[in-house]
Amino acid sequence: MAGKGMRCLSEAMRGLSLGAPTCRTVPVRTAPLISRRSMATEAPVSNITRSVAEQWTPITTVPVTVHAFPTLEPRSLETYSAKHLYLPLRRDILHLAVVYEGDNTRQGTAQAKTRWEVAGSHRKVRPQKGSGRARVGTKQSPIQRGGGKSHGPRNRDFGTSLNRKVYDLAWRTALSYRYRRGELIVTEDGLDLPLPEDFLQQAQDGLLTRELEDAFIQKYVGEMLGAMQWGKAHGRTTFITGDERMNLFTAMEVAGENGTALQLQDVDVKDLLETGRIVMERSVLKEMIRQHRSDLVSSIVVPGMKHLKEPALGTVLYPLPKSPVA
Amino acid sequence: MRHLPRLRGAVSASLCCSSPTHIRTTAVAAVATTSSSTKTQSLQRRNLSTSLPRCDAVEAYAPPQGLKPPPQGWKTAVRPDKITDPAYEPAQDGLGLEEVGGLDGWWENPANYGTGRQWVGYGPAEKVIDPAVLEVAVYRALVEAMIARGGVKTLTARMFAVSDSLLGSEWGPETLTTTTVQTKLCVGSNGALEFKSTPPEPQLEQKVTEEVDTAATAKQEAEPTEGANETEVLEEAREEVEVKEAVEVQEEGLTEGPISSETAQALLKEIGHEWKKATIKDYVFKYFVAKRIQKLTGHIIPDGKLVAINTAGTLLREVVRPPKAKKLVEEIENKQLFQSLPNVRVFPRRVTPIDKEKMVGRWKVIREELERRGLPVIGTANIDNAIEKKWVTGAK
Repeated sequence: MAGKGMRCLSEAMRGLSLGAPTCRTVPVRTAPLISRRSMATEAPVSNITRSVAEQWTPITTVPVTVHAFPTLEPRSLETYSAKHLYLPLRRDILHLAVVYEGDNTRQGTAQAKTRWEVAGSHRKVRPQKGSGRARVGTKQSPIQRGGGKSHGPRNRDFGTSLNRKVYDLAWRTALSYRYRRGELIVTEDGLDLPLPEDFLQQAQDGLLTRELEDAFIQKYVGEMLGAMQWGKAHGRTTFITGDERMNLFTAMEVAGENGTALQLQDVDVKDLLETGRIVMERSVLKEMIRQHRSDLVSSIVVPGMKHLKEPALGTVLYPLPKSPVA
Repeated sequence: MRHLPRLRGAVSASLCCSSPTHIRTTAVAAVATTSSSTKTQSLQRRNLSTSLPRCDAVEAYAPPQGLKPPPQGWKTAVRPDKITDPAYEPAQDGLGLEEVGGLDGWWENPANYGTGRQWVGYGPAEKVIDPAVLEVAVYRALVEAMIARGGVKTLTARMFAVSDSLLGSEWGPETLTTTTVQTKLCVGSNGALEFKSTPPEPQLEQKVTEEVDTAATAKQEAEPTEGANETEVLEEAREEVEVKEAVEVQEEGLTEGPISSETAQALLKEIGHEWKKATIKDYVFKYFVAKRIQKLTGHIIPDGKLVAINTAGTLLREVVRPPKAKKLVEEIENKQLFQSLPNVRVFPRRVTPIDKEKMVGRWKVIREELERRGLPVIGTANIDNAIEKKWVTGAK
């Protein structure tokens, strides 16, 4: 103890001395040479720094192959901006969008009657005293059988709000997620399911009952999507078209275990995240992105300022329009 | 369907497909059931368009082949509770009935369902999975895509048609693959893929020239009028080329399927490895290669993967890589893991107590004893949990 006290005192005296620095600094203790680490164990210098010669060029556009359906023959090639179809995965934004959609989908029509809404007389059920039983005011009381419900569900709007730019970003993030995983298949316009001609003829002639029709479609579509590895065993398929296509929508209604068909106006972000793959027409993809790019375009024009140019939507690379000139 | 009012908007006119001119008249199939008891069902009709699909994939349309409708006059029996006749007595067996059975599983019979309804994709009927054949196919796809890219770059209708037909052609005779593979590819000065000798091998050049001539002949025969659509001319030229190719193949008497594994192994020695280092960046070229690979092997390379593929070697790896195993046990089997460990065994599912008894040969005895005592072999049969448990927990 004495030693410690003496050390403190000597330190204090040194601090007060004239030779002490005005700004007190932490003394750096230099280790003796013997205890220093040997250079043999030093990690090698990492080579993660890039060479200046290799300039980093980020991907600005991504290709989209347009297929024929159902052969899946590649027919043409388009490019979309990376801001449309090659966004990084943001699960938080997708979660926001799905919750927002779920909230706005709720009907909110549940309602239970309160004691003020239950019909009946408000007469006192029995005298206040003398019956030997509990006092009861009215039979609408929540503690009575057939009485009103206290704190029951009421009609209300469960809808929440989400900034439009966030929602649009979520939409394109969902598309990008599908694109990166190879689960976004774009087809030519006019996507429909070709049912066999002889079947359609017999159906038109009234030779088949509804049950037989359904059974045929179920078998045919199941076998077809199974062969394409698009069926139930491979996570089902969502088809998205611009308007209703009779055969496709009927077939997917009948053979719902293998997938579903939606019109563009019925599609949500959640639909894009469900099932094994998304199959859509090229014009649907274009329209979908056009409707959800509020964070990329600006309607504000300031004179003298450079207007932010929005990325092009679906530039055709091959075949170029009117390119093959004889 | 979910609708969000804020997001609901009229679909632009460009989305609604106009009726094509080449299809037949559209009619809704009005399907009335002949069932006497299902009057309400007869009012329900399926919406089915009998027109051809509104896409160009008409060739995939299955031709009518042996679809057999059920015999007409088919009646469904009236449900017993709907019968008003007091003298009705339900049959005890099917012996006295005129006809028994229903239409369930009518299409399961191949004689009724017909044949030739299999899906025909763009490529061979079965995916090529042999690594050697796949490597040859990728090499051939690169060579032919380079030729096609050169053809397209010239921006002439003839070369355009030729390039298109070249990309869409089958494997062809084996000599064609050999010729293509003998064309050497190398890495150019800028790292891109190049032909070692420019122009490419004479035989290959001759093949392309022949196709160009065929397309030109087809075009001359077509005699395009002033109002003729350019695409129609191209279609005709393409068809001509395809027909000629088919005839040539028939004459040679060779199949158009993928080459054998042995042939591929032999060809691989000629190919070498230098070409794998070449960079591929052009999207159109990648598209050509991917299309050709799909036609030759049946492997579809998605766009999202194509973006990340920048060298020929990466492309090859992407095609050859087997699909990811769905179960852990499959992965372990594929990789031949734990083979050398005597005390490790891998089971495809949970090892149940019954399995353990079976392993030691005791399950047979246990089952016999349980059966002798009239106790359930598996499960608890109708024996509930102890009633006291309900009293203690207060569960309803």
